[in-house]
Amino acid sequence: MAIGLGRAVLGRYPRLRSTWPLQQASAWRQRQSWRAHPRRMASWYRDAADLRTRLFVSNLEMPEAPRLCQPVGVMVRLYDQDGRPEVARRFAIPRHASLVLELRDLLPAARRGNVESGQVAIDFEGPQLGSARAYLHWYNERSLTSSHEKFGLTIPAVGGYWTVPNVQDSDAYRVHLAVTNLDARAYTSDITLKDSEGHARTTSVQLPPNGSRFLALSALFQDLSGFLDHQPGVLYFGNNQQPAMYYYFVQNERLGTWRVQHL
Amino acid sequence: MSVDAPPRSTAAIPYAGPQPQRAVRHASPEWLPVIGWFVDDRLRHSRINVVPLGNTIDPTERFAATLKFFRGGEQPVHTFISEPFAGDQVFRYESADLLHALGEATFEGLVEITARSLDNPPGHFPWIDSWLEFAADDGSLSGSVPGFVFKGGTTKRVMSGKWQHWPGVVANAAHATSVLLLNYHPRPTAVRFDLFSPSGRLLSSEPLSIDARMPRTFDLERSVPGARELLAGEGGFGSLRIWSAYKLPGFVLIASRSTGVINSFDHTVPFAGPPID
Repeated sequence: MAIGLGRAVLGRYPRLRSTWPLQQASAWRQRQSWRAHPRRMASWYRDAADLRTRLFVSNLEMPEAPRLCQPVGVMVRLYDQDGRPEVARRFAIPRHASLVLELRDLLPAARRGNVESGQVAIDFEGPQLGSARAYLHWYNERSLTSSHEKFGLTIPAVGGYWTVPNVQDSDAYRVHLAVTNLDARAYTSDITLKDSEGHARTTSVQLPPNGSRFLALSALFQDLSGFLDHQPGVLYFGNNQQPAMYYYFVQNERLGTWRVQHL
Repeated sequence: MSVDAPPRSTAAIPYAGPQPQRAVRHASPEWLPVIGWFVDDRLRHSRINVVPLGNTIDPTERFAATLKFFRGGEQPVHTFISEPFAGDQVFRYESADLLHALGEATFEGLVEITARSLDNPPGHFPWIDSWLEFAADDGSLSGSVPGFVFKGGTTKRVMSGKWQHWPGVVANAAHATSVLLLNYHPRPTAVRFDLFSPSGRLLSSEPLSIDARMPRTFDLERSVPGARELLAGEGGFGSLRIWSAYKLPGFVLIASRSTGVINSFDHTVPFAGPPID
Protein backbone atom coordinates (compact mmCIF):
# COMPACT_ATOMS: atom_id res chain seq x y z
CA MET A 1 0.00 0.00 0.00
CA ALA A 2 2.83 2.36 0.92
CA ILE A 3 4.54 1.63 -2.38
CA GLY A 4 1.32 2.26 -4.27
CA LEU A 5 0.82 5.52 -2.41
CA GLY A 6 4.39 6.57 -3.12
CA ARG A 7 4.00 5.83 -6.80
CA ALA A 8 0.79 7.81 -6.92
CA VAL A 9 2.53 10.80 -5.34
CA LEU A 10 5.41 10.53 -7.79
CA GLY A 11 2.98 10.22 -10.65
CA ARG A 12 1.35 13.45 -9.58
CA TYR A 13 4.59 15.25 -8.74
CA PRO A 14 7.23 13.74 -11.07
CA ARG A 15 9.75 16.44 -10.18
CA LEU A 16 10.16 14.71 -6.82
CA ARG A 17 12.11 12.00 -8.60
CA SER A 18 15.03 14.34 -9.08
CA THR A 19 15.23 15.32 -5.40
CA TRP A 20 18.23 14.21 -3.38
CA PRO A 21 16.43 11.87 -0.93
CA LEU A 22 14.61 10.01 -3.67
CA GLN A 23 17.73 9.67 -5.77
CA GLN A 24 19.60 8.27 -2.77
CA ALA A 25 16.81 5.82 -2.07
CA SER A 26 16.73 4.77 -5.68
CA ALA A 27 20.48 4.23 -5.75
CA TRP A 28 20.26 2.16 -2.56
CA ARG A 29 17.57 -0.02 -4.09
CA GLN A 30 19.67 -0.47 -7.20
CA ARG A 31 22.71 -1.52 -5.16
CA GLN A 32 20.61 -4.01 -3.22
CA SER A 33 19.32 -5.44 -6.49
CA TRP A 34 22.83 -5.83 -7.90
CA ARG A 35 23.99 -7.48 -4.70
CA ALA A 36 21.07 -9.90 -4.82
CA HIS A 37 21.55 -10.63 -8.52
CA PRO A 38 25.24 -10.22 -9.32
CA ARG A 39 26.96 -11.32 -12.46
CA ARG A 40 28.42 -14.59 -11.22
CA MET A 41 31.87 -15.44 -12.51
CA ALA A 42 34.24 -18.22 -11.56
CA SER A 43 37.58 -19.71 -12.43
CA TRP A 44 40.22 -22.13 -11.20
CA TYR A 45 43.13 -21.26 -8.98
CA ARG A 46 46.26 -22.80 -7.51
CA ASP A 47 48.63 -21.62 -4.83
CA ALA A 48 51.64 -23.91 -4.86
CA ALA A 49 55.37 -23.68 -5.43
CA ASP A 50 54.96 -23.99 -9.20
CA LEU A 51 51.98 -21.67 -9.74
CA ARG A 52 50.30 -18.82 -7.92
CA THR A 53 47.15 -16.97 -8.93
CA ARG A 54 46.32 -13.29 -9.26
CA LEU A 55 42.83 -11.95 -10.00
CA PHE A 56 41.85 -8.81 -11.97
CA VAL A 57 38.45 -7.20 -12.17
CA SER A 58 38.11 -3.77 -13.74
CA ASN A 59 35.36 -1.18 -13.73
CA LEU A 60 36.04 0.95 -16.78
CA GLU A 61 33.73 3.36 -18.49
CA MET A 62 32.51 2.91 -22.01
CA PRO A 63 32.45 6.53 -23.18
CA GLU A 64 29.17 6.12 -25.07
CA ALA A 65 27.46 5.00 -21.85
CA PRO A 66 29.29 6.68 -18.95
CA ARG A 67 26.39 6.26 -16.51
CA LEU A 68 26.85 2.51 -16.62
CA CYS A 69 30.19 2.93 -14.88
CA GLN A 70 29.48 3.32 -11.18
CA PRO A 71 31.31 2.21 -8.05
CA VAL A 72 30.70 -1.51 -7.66
CA GLY A 73 31.15 -4.22 -5.08
CA VAL A 74 32.83 -7.51 -5.87
CA MET A 75 32.45 -10.56 -3.63
CA VAL A 76 35.30 -13.06 -3.93
CA ARG A 77 34.91 -16.60 -2.57
CA LEU A 78 37.47 -19.40 -2.53
CA TYR A 79 36.65 -23.11 -2.36
CA ASP A 80 39.04 -25.98 -1.73
CA GLN A 81 39.32 -28.85 -4.19
CA ASP A 82 36.52 -30.73 -2.47
CA GLY A 83 34.21 -27.76 -2.83
CA ARG A 84 34.31 -26.59 0.79
CA PRO A 85 34.17 -22.81 1.20
CA GLU A 86 37.39 -21.35 2.57
CA VAL A 87 37.18 -17.58 2.31
CA ALA A 88 34.65 -14.89 1.34
CA ARG A 89 35.47 -11.20 1.15
CA ARG A 90 33.85 -8.18 -0.49
CA PHE A 91 35.85 -5.49 -2.29
CA ALA A 92 34.85 -2.08 -3.62
CA ILE A 93 35.99 -0.94 -7.07
CA PRO A 94 35.63 2.79 -7.83
CA ARG A 95 34.97 4.12 -11.32
CA HIS A 96 37.86 3.51 -13.73
CA ALA A 97 39.67 1.41 -11.13
CA SER A 98 40.69 -2.24 -11.15
CA LEU A 99 40.88 -4.81 -8.39
CA VAL A 100 44.25 -6.58 -8.35
CA LEU A 101 44.17 -9.42 -5.86
CA GLU A 102 46.77 -12.01 -4.95
CA LEU A 103 44.52 -14.91 -4.01
CA ARG A 104 47.08 -16.25 -1.55
CA ASP A 105 46.55 -13.10 0.50
CA LEU A 106 43.01 -14.29 1.19
CA LEU A 107 44.11 -17.71 2.40
CA PRO A 108 44.85 -18.63 6.00
CA ALA A 109 48.62 -18.79 6.59
CA ALA A 110 48.63 -22.58 6.83
CA ARG A 111 47.03 -22.90 3.41
CA ARG A 112 49.37 -20.57 1.56
CA GLY A 113 51.48 -22.47 -0.88
CA ASN A 114 49.49 -25.63 -0.27
CA VAL A 115 46.45 -25.32 -2.54
CA GLU A 116 46.79 -27.75 -5.41
CA SER A 117 43.42 -26.88 -6.89
CA GLY A 118 40.48 -24.67 -5.99
CA GLN A 119 37.61 -22.64 -7.37
CA VAL A 120 37.42 -18.87 -7.14
CA ALA A 121 33.93 -17.39 -7.50
CA ILE A 122 33.49 -13.70 -8.25
CA ASP A 123 30.19 -11.84 -7.93
CA PHE A 124 30.20 -8.52 -9.80
CA GLU A 125 27.59 -6.37 -8.06
CA GLY A 126 27.05 -3.62 -10.57
CA PRO A 127 25.70 -2.71 -13.97
CA GLN A 128 27.09 -5.05 -16.50
CA LEU A 129 28.49 -4.90 -19.97
CA GLY A 130 30.13 -7.73 -21.79
CA SER A 131 33.39 -6.42 -20.43
CA ALA A 132 32.50 -7.13 -16.80
CA ARG A 133 34.69 -10.19 -16.73
CA ALA A 134 37.46 -11.30 -14.44
CA TYR A 135 40.90 -12.19 -15.78
CA LEU A 136 43.50 -14.23 -13.95
CA HIS A 137 47.27 -14.51 -13.94
CA TRP A 138 48.81 -17.86 -13.14
CA TYR A 139 52.48 -17.24 -12.59
CA ASN A 140 55.81 -18.33 -11.19
CA GLU A 141 59.33 -16.91 -11.35
CA ARG A 142 59.76 -18.02 -14.96
CA SER A 143 56.42 -17.30 -16.57
CA LEU A 144 53.07 -15.61 -16.42
CA THR A 145 50.02 -16.85 -18.27
CA SER A 146 46.56 -15.35 -18.32
CA SER A 147 42.98 -16.03 -19.34
CA HIS A 148 39.43 -15.13 -18.36
CA GLU A 149 36.83 -16.63 -16.06
CA LYS A 150 34.57 -19.27 -17.51
CA PHE A 151 31.43 -19.42 -15.43
CA GLY A 152 28.50 -18.32 -17.51
CA LEU A 153 29.31 -19.77 -20.91
CA THR A 154 29.83 -23.38 -20.08
CA ILE A 155 26.31 -24.69 -20.57
CA PRO A 156 26.00 -26.48 -22.84
CA ALA A 157 28.98 -27.38 -24.98
CA VAL A 158 28.56 -26.06 -28.50
CA GLY A 159 26.57 -29.02 -29.70
CA GLY A 160 29.49 -31.37 -29.03
CA TYR A 161 32.16 -31.93 -26.43
CA TRP A 162 34.65 -29.72 -24.64
CA THR A 163 37.75 -30.58 -26.58
CA VAL A 164 41.50 -30.04 -26.19
CA PRO A 165 42.57 -29.74 -29.82
CA ASN A 166 46.26 -30.57 -29.45
CA VAL A 167 47.63 -33.01 -26.89
CA GLN A 168 51.31 -33.85 -26.85
CA ASP A 169 53.68 -35.27 -24.29
CA SER A 170 57.29 -34.15 -24.20
CA ASP A 171 59.44 -32.22 -21.79
CA ALA A 172 58.47 -29.08 -23.68
CA TYR A 173 54.75 -29.86 -23.80
CA ARG A 174 53.16 -31.60 -20.80
CA VAL A 175 49.40 -31.19 -20.60
CA HIS A 176 47.53 -30.68 -17.32
CA LEU A 177 43.76 -30.31 -17.07
CA ALA A 178 42.14 -27.85 -14.64
CA VAL A 179 38.49 -28.77 -14.19
CA THR A 180 35.94 -27.20 -11.87
CA ASN A 181 32.43 -28.38 -11.12
CA LEU A 182 29.82 -25.62 -11.16
CA ASP A 183 26.88 -27.91 -10.58
CA ALA A 184 25.03 -28.52 -7.32
CA ARG A 185 25.40 -32.22 -8.05
CA ALA A 186 28.56 -34.27 -8.29
CA TYR A 187 30.12 -34.13 -11.75
CA THR A 188 31.34 -37.24 -13.50
CA SER A 189 32.79 -37.36 -16.98
CA ASP A 190 34.58 -39.74 -19.24
CA ILE A 191 37.79 -38.32 -20.66
CA THR A 192 38.71 -39.74 -24.06
CA LEU A 193 42.15 -39.37 -25.58
CA LYS A 194 42.67 -40.16 -29.26
CA ASP A 195 45.97 -40.42 -31.06
CA SER A 196 46.52 -39.13 -34.58
CA GLU A 197 45.21 -42.38 -36.08
CA GLY A 198 42.02 -42.39 -34.02
CA HIS A 199 42.94 -45.00 -31.44
CA ALA A 200 41.20 -44.16 -28.18
CA ARG A 201 41.85 -44.49 -24.49
CA THR A 202 39.33 -43.53 -21.85
CA THR A 203 39.40 -42.64 -18.19
CA SER A 204 37.06 -40.65 -15.98
CA VAL A 205 37.00 -37.82 -13.48
CA GLN A 206 34.65 -37.17 -10.56
CA LEU A 207 34.20 -33.86 -8.78
CA PRO A 208 31.97 -32.92 -5.85
CA PRO A 209 29.85 -29.75 -6.10
CA ASN A 210 32.16 -26.71 -6.34
CA GLY A 211 35.07 -29.14 -6.39
CA SER A 212 38.04 -28.93 -8.73
CA ARG A 213 41.03 -30.96 -9.88
CA PHE A 214 44.39 -30.31 -11.50
CA LEU A 215 45.16 -33.46 -13.46
CA ALA A 216 48.45 -34.29 -15.14
CA LEU A 217 47.59 -36.13 -18.33
CA SER A 218 50.55 -38.42 -17.88
CA ALA A 219 49.02 -39.54 -14.58
CA LEU A 220 45.64 -40.18 -16.18
CA PHE A 221 47.00 -42.18 -19.12
CA GLN A 222 49.88 -44.63 -18.76
CA ASP A 223 52.70 -44.40 -21.33
CA LEU A 224 51.16 -41.28 -22.79
CA SER A 225 54.19 -40.45 -24.87
CA GLY A 226 54.30 -43.90 -26.44
CA PHE A 227 50.59 -43.82 -27.18
CA LEU A 228 50.76 -40.45 -28.95
CA ASP A 229 53.98 -41.38 -30.77
CA HIS A 230 55.13 -37.78 -31.31
CA GLN A 231 51.94 -36.83 -33.15
CA PRO A 232 49.31 -34.42 -31.80
CA GLY A 233 46.31 -36.12 -30.25
CA VAL A 234 42.93 -34.81 -29.21
CA LEU A 235 41.12 -35.09 -25.89
CA TYR A 236 37.50 -34.52 -25.02
CA PHE A 237 35.21 -34.63 -22.01
CA GLY A 238 32.23 -36.94 -22.52
CA ASN A 239 29.94 -35.06 -20.14
CA ASN A 240 28.56 -32.24 -22.25
CA GLN A 241 25.47 -31.71 -20.10
CA GLN A 242 26.58 -30.61 -16.64
CA PRO A 243 28.08 -27.17 -16.07
CA ALA A 244 31.81 -27.27 -15.54
CA MET A 245 34.81 -25.11 -16.40
CA TYR A 246 37.75 -26.44 -18.34
CA TYR A 247 41.23 -25.05 -18.82
CA TYR A 248 44.35 -26.83 -19.94
CA PHE A 249 47.87 -25.88 -18.95
CA VAL A 250 50.91 -26.73 -21.03
CA GLN A 251 54.05 -27.09 -18.95
CA ASN A 252 57.45 -26.63 -20.54
CA GLU A 253 59.71 -28.49 -18.14
CA ARG A 254 62.85 -27.35 -19.91
CA LEU A 255 62.00 -23.66 -19.50
CA GLY A 256 60.06 -23.98 -16.24
CA THR A 257 57.08 -22.23 -17.83
CA TRP A 258 53.33 -22.73 -18.10
CA ARG A 259 50.74 -21.49 -20.51
CA VAL A 260 47.00 -21.71 -20.11
CA GLN A 261 44.11 -21.98 -22.54
CA HIS A 262 40.42 -22.14 -21.76
CA LEU A 263 38.14 -24.52 -23.61
CA MET B 1 9.64 4.62 -3.86
CA SER B 2 10.64 4.17 -7.45
CA VAL B 3 13.40 2.05 -8.78
CA ASP B 4 15.40 3.17 -11.76
CA ALA B 5 14.63 1.15 -14.82
CA PRO B 6 17.54 -0.81 -16.25
CA PRO B 7 19.39 1.07 -18.96
CA ARG B 8 17.84 0.51 -22.32
CA SER B 9 19.71 -1.18 -25.10
CA THR B 10 20.70 1.00 -28.00
CA ALA B 11 22.41 0.40 -31.28
CA ALA B 12 25.69 1.37 -29.65
CA ILE B 13 25.06 -0.68 -26.50
CA PRO B 14 23.00 -3.68 -27.56
CA TYR B 15 23.48 -5.43 -24.24
CA ALA B 16 23.07 -2.80 -21.59
CA GLY B 17 20.78 -4.67 -19.21
CA PRO B 18 21.96 -5.12 -15.62
CA GLN B 19 21.97 -8.90 -15.70
CA PRO B 20 23.54 -11.31 -18.16
CA GLN B 21 20.95 -12.77 -20.43
CA ARG B 22 21.17 -15.16 -23.26
CA ALA B 23 19.97 -13.64 -26.48
CA VAL B 24 17.46 -15.58 -28.49
CA ARG B 25 19.39 -17.85 -30.80
CA HIS B 26 18.35 -18.15 -34.39
CA ALA B 27 19.66 -20.79 -36.69
CA SER B 28 21.76 -19.31 -39.46
CA PRO B 29 21.19 -20.30 -43.06
CA GLU B 30 24.95 -20.39 -43.63
CA TRP B 31 27.96 -21.78 -41.87
CA LEU B 32 29.90 -18.86 -40.49
CA PRO B 33 33.60 -18.28 -40.98
CA VAL B 34 35.99 -17.65 -38.12
CA ILE B 35 38.96 -15.34 -38.38
CA GLY B 36 42.48 -15.84 -37.08
CA TRP B 37 46.08 -14.67 -37.20
CA PHE B 38 48.38 -16.78 -39.35
CA VAL B 39 52.15 -16.41 -39.38
CA ASP B 40 55.25 -18.26 -40.49
CA ASP B 41 58.56 -16.39 -40.52
CA ARG B 42 60.85 -19.43 -40.26
CA LEU B 43 60.95 -19.00 -36.48
CA ARG B 44 57.26 -18.76 -35.63
CA HIS B 45 54.80 -21.25 -37.09
CA SER B 46 51.02 -21.60 -37.10
CA ARG B 47 48.63 -24.49 -37.26
CA ILE B 48 44.88 -24.61 -37.82
CA ASN B 49 42.88 -27.23 -35.94
CA VAL B 50 39.25 -27.72 -36.96
CA VAL B 51 37.54 -29.86 -34.33
CA PRO B 52 34.09 -31.17 -35.35
CA LEU B 53 33.62 -32.90 -31.99
CA GLY B 54 33.26 -29.43 -30.55
CA ASN B 55 30.01 -29.19 -32.47
CA THR B 56 28.70 -32.71 -32.98
CA ILE B 57 28.48 -35.92 -31.03
CA ASP B 58 28.14 -37.95 -34.23
CA PRO B 59 31.55 -39.40 -35.12
CA THR B 60 30.41 -40.31 -38.63
CA GLU B 61 29.06 -36.88 -39.64
CA ARG B 62 31.15 -35.55 -42.56
CA PHE B 63 32.76 -32.13 -42.66
CA ALA B 64 34.89 -30.02 -44.99
CA ALA B 65 36.84 -26.81 -44.48
CA THR B 66 37.68 -23.88 -46.75
CA LEU B 67 40.65 -21.72 -45.80
CA LYS B 68 41.20 -18.26 -47.29
CA PHE B 69 44.47 -16.49 -46.55
CA PHE B 70 44.58 -12.69 -46.75
CA ARG B 71 47.58 -10.39 -46.80
CA GLY B 72 46.26 -6.90 -47.37
CA GLY B 73 44.22 -7.31 -50.53
CA GLU B 74 40.50 -7.69 -50.70
CA GLN B 75 40.92 -11.08 -52.35
CA PRO B 76 42.74 -13.97 -50.68
CA VAL B 77 46.27 -14.77 -51.76
CA HIS B 78 45.49 -18.46 -51.42
CA THR B 79 42.40 -20.62 -50.97
CA PHE B 80 42.49 -24.20 -49.75
CA ILE B 81 39.56 -26.59 -49.80
CA SER B 82 39.95 -29.70 -47.70
CA GLU B 83 38.91 -33.24 -48.45
CA PRO B 84 35.89 -34.38 -46.41
CA PHE B 85 36.75 -35.56 -42.91
CA ALA B 86 34.75 -37.38 -40.26
CA GLY B 87 33.32 -35.89 -37.08
CA ASP B 88 35.79 -37.70 -34.86
CA GLN B 89 38.78 -36.47 -36.83
CA VAL B 90 40.67 -33.19 -36.42
CA PHE B 91 41.51 -31.34 -39.60
CA ARG B 92 44.93 -29.76 -39.25
CA TYR B 93 46.69 -27.33 -41.60
CA GLU B 94 50.28 -26.20 -41.03
CA SER B 95 51.77 -22.87 -42.05
CA ALA B 96 54.48 -24.82 -43.89
CA ASP B 97 51.72 -26.04 -46.23
CA LEU B 98 50.80 -22.45 -47.05
CA LEU B 99 54.40 -21.43 -47.69
CA HIS B 100 54.76 -24.40 -50.02
CA ALA B 101 51.57 -23.45 -51.88
CA LEU B 102 52.64 -19.81 -52.20
CA GLY B 103 56.23 -20.63 -53.04
CA GLU B 104 57.35 -18.06 -50.51
CA ALA B 105 59.60 -18.11 -47.48
CA THR B 106 57.41 -16.22 -45.03
CA PHE B 107 53.81 -15.18 -44.49
CA GLU B 108 51.92 -13.01 -42.02
CA GLY B 109 48.28 -12.25 -42.53
CA LEU B 110 44.78 -13.41 -41.73
CA VAL B 111 43.03 -16.67 -42.32
CA GLU B 112 39.31 -17.09 -42.77
CA ILE B 113 38.19 -20.61 -41.84
CA THR B 114 34.80 -21.80 -42.99
CA ALA B 115 34.10 -25.35 -41.92
CA ARG B 116 30.77 -26.95 -42.67
CA SER B 117 28.93 -30.18 -42.18
CA LEU B 118 28.27 -32.02 -45.41
CA ASP B 119 25.36 -33.88 -43.82
CA ASN B 120 23.49 -31.35 -41.72
CA PRO B 121 22.45 -27.71 -42.06
CA PRO B 122 23.84 -25.19 -39.59
CA GLY B 123 22.01 -25.02 -36.28
CA HIS B 124 22.15 -22.68 -33.32
CA PHE B 125 25.95 -22.65 -33.35
CA PRO B 126 26.61 -22.35 -37.09
CA TRP B 127 30.37 -22.66 -36.99
CA ILE B 128 32.83 -25.43 -36.28
CA ASP B 129 35.21 -25.15 -33.36
CA SER B 130 38.50 -24.01 -34.88
CA TRP B 131 41.69 -23.29 -32.98
CA LEU B 132 44.83 -21.54 -34.13
CA GLU B 133 48.07 -22.64 -32.54
CA PHE B 134 51.36 -20.82 -32.58
CA ALA B 135 54.82 -22.04 -31.68
CA ALA B 136 58.37 -20.78 -32.15
CA ASP B 137 61.38 -23.01 -32.78
CA ASP B 138 63.25 -21.38 -29.90
CA GLY B 139 60.31 -21.68 -27.51
CA SER B 140 59.73 -17.92 -27.47
CA LEU B 141 56.08 -18.30 -28.49
CA SER B 142 53.58 -20.91 -27.45
CA GLY B 143 49.88 -20.24 -27.72
CA SER B 144 46.50 -21.47 -28.82
CA VAL B 145 43.44 -19.31 -29.38
CA PRO B 146 39.98 -19.90 -30.79
CA GLY B 147 39.01 -18.52 -34.16
CA PHE B 148 36.70 -15.52 -33.87
CA VAL B 149 33.23 -15.53 -35.33
CA PHE B 150 33.24 -12.08 -36.79
CA LYS B 151 29.63 -11.65 -37.78
CA GLY B 152 26.40 -13.54 -37.53
CA GLY B 153 23.32 -13.89 -35.39
CA THR B 154 24.69 -16.05 -32.63
CA THR B 155 25.69 -15.46 -29.07
CA LYS B 156 29.03 -17.16 -28.71
CA ARG B 157 32.34 -15.70 -29.80
CA VAL B 158 30.67 -13.01 -31.86
CA MET B 159 32.51 -9.74 -31.71
CA SER B 160 30.42 -6.71 -30.99
CA GLY B 161 31.25 -3.13 -30.24
CA LYS B 162 34.20 -0.95 -31.01
CA TRP B 163 35.48 -1.03 -27.44
CA GLN B 164 37.26 -3.98 -25.94
CA HIS B 165 39.41 -4.45 -22.89
CA TRP B 166 41.78 -6.64 -20.94
CA PRO B 167 42.14 -6.35 -17.18
CA GLY B 168 45.64 -7.39 -16.17
CA VAL B 169 48.12 -6.04 -18.70
CA VAL B 170 51.68 -5.93 -17.36
CA ALA B 171 54.46 -3.41 -17.83
CA ASN B 172 57.10 -3.97 -15.18
CA ALA B 173 60.64 -5.25 -14.76
CA ALA B 174 59.60 -8.85 -15.23
CA HIS B 175 57.04 -8.77 -18.05
CA ALA B 176 55.98 -6.79 -21.11
CA THR B 177 52.68 -6.71 -22.97
CA SER B 178 51.84 -6.49 -26.64
CA VAL B 179 48.48 -6.30 -28.36
CA LEU B 180 47.58 -8.15 -31.55
CA LEU B 181 44.65 -6.78 -33.53
CA LEU B 182 43.18 -8.35 -36.65
CA ASN B 183 41.74 -5.99 -39.25
CA TYR B 184 39.44 -8.10 -41.37
CA HIS B 185 37.92 -5.01 -42.98
CA PRO B 186 38.90 -4.12 -46.55
CA ARG B 187 39.99 -0.67 -45.39
CA PRO B 188 42.52 0.70 -42.87
CA THR B 189 41.15 0.93 -39.35
CA ALA B 190 42.07 3.48 -36.69
CA VAL B 191 42.71 2.36 -33.11
CA ARG B 192 43.60 3.94 -29.77
CA PHE B 193 44.79 2.43 -26.51
CA ASP B 194 43.68 3.74 -23.10
CA LEU B 195 45.74 2.37 -20.23
CA PHE B 196 44.30 2.60 -16.71
CA SER B 197 46.29 2.02 -13.55
CA PRO B 198 44.46 0.02 -10.84
CA SER B 199 43.71 3.28 -9.04
CA GLY B 200 42.17 4.74 -12.20
CA ARG B 201 44.87 7.00 -13.62
CA LEU B 202 44.81 7.09 -17.42
CA LEU B 203 47.26 7.39 -20.31
CA SER B 204 46.24 7.15 -23.97
CA SER B 205 48.12 6.39 -27.15
CA GLU B 206 48.18 8.57 -30.20
CA PRO B 207 45.77 7.46 -32.95
CA LEU B 208 47.18 4.38 -34.67
CA SER B 209 46.16 2.50 -37.76
CA ILE B 210 46.06 -1.04 -39.10
CA ASP B 211 46.24 -1.77 -42.81
CA ALA B 212 43.30 -3.39 -44.57
CA ARG B 213 42.97 -7.17 -44.17
CA MET B 214 46.09 -7.37 -42.03
CA PRO B 215 47.10 -8.12 -38.46
CA ARG B 216 49.26 -5.74 -36.48
CA THR B 217 51.07 -6.22 -33.18
CA PHE B 218 51.56 -3.19 -30.92
CA ASP B 219 54.11 -3.03 -28.14
CA LEU B 220 52.21 -1.50 -25.23
CA GLU B 221 55.07 0.58 -23.86
CA ARG B 222 55.95 1.93 -27.29
CA SER B 223 52.33 2.69 -28.13
CA VAL B 224 51.54 4.33 -24.80
CA PRO B 225 54.64 6.33 -23.79
CA GLY B 226 54.92 6.48 -20.01
CA ALA B 227 53.01 3.24 -19.55
CA ARG B 228 55.61 1.68 -17.33
CA GLU B 229 55.89 4.77 -15.15
CA LEU B 230 52.10 4.98 -14.87
CA LEU B 231 51.88 1.46 -13.50
CA ALA B 232 55.16 1.45 -11.56
CA GLY B 233 53.67 2.33 -8.22
CA GLU B 234 50.93 -0.27 -8.51
CA GLY B 235 52.81 -3.47 -9.22
CA GLY B 236 53.21 -2.85 -12.92
CA PHE B 237 49.65 -4.01 -13.61
CA GLY B 238 46.79 -2.20 -15.29
CA SER B 239 43.70 -2.50 -17.44
CA LEU B 240 43.74 -1.77 -21.14
CA ARG B 241 40.79 -0.33 -23.05
CA ILE B 242 40.98 -0.43 -26.84
CA TRP B 243 38.92 1.70 -29.18
CA SER B 244 38.76 0.96 -32.90
CA ALA B 245 36.82 2.63 -35.67
CA TYR B 246 35.51 -0.78 -36.72
CA LYS B 247 35.38 -3.86 -34.62
CA LEU B 248 38.59 -5.87 -34.50
CA PRO B 249 39.36 -9.20 -32.88
CA GLY B 250 41.98 -8.44 -30.24
CA PHE B 251 44.52 -10.50 -28.32
CA VAL B 252 46.97 -9.72 -25.54
CA LEU B 253 50.39 -11.34 -25.40
CA ILE B 254 52.58 -11.15 -22.30
CA ALA B 255 56.29 -11.95 -22.49
CA SER B 256 58.93 -12.52 -19.87
CA ARG B 257 61.65 -9.89 -20.24
CA SER B 258 64.36 -12.20 -18.92
CA THR B 259 63.66 -15.07 -21.33
CA GLY B 260 61.75 -13.36 -24.12
CA VAL B 261 59.19 -16.14 -23.94
CA ILE B 262 55.50 -15.37 -24.56
CA ASN B 263 53.39 -17.63 -22.38
CA SER B 264 50.21 -15.62 -22.24
CA PHE B 265 48.06 -15.31 -25.34
CA ASP B 266 44.31 -14.92 -25.16
CA HIS B 267 41.56 -12.71 -26.50
CA THR B 268 40.18 -9.49 -25.08
CA VAL B 269 36.53 -8.96 -24.18
CA PRO B 270 34.22 -6.48 -25.90
CA PHE B 271 32.39 -3.92 -23.79
CA ALA B 272 29.07 -4.33 -25.51
CA GLY B 273 27.25 -7.51 -26.32
CA PRO B 274 27.10 -10.72 -24.33
CA PRO B 275 30.41 -12.06 -23.07
CA ILE B 276 32.29 -14.01 -25.69
CA ASP B 277 33.80 -17.35 -24.96
